[in-house]
Amino acid sequence: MNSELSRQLETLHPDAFGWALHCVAGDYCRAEEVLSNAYLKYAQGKAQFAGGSSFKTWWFGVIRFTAQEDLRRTKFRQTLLGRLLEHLPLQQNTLARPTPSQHLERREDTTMLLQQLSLLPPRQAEVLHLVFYQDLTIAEAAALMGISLGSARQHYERGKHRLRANLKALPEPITL
Amino acid sequence: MNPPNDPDDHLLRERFLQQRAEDHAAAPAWSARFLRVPAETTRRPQPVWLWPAAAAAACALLALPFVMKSAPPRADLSSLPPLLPLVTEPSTPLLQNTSFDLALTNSSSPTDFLLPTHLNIQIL
Repeated sequence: MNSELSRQLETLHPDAFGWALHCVAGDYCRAEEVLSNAYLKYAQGKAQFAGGSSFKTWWFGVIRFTAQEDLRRTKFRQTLLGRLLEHLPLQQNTLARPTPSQHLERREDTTMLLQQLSLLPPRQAEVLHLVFYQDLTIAEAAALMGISLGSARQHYERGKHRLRANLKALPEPITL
Repeated sequence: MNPPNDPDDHLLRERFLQQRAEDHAAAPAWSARFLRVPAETTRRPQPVWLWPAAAAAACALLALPFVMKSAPPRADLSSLPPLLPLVTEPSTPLLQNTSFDLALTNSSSPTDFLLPTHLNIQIL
């Protein structure tokens, strides 16, 4: 295993978790699971970096794909046939994080941002997360999302204006 | 290649950075085991009902030929006596030799006058 790439993975780990969290709509438990599966793919050689893009873009693409696989698996498990074959009841995330106290600690600003972000179309929310949170360029975000640059730019502009307008329309949080 | 920074972007950037800091705080710590391939994949235990169900299905399959064999044999239809021998004989009109008392069919009820005339039914 390439030690240089492993070091990069370690550096990217917190951001990768944030991206996984975005991909699974804020479910901490599933984000951890998705990230572990992505690491496993890398360790088993199922996901190999070919150097066609930046390492971060490639790695985030792997996480995104793994999250989509996880979503499909979850949907299948929720069907009757899936539950029968898996021989387990509907899984509940008993280990979901953060804990209630951590939830309370989350700043109101962040909660509002997440709420408003969830109201945007998924592509718009995705591109905004990649640009503002992960500090990627729009071109990198487009490559990661598998869409054209023009399309990504459109999602970015529309999403940004809508999110900004929605946040401004909200009442100011009460500070004590 | 991001577009030039919009002065209004700072609000969004601030909020995203805040979210980022909170997510980083909640992220699981990095561990070298993330990149370790498990020695052997752990298999999910078989469901309890699987083996009895498989055994029952196998028994049903094995018993199928015997069940089929014990079914009553179909009789040869040509060896059976004809059920309707009269059908082959020339037909005769029904009730040919029967005589009816026509007066009985023309009987009328004492309350017939209560019925409207168009409902006056006669059995002929």
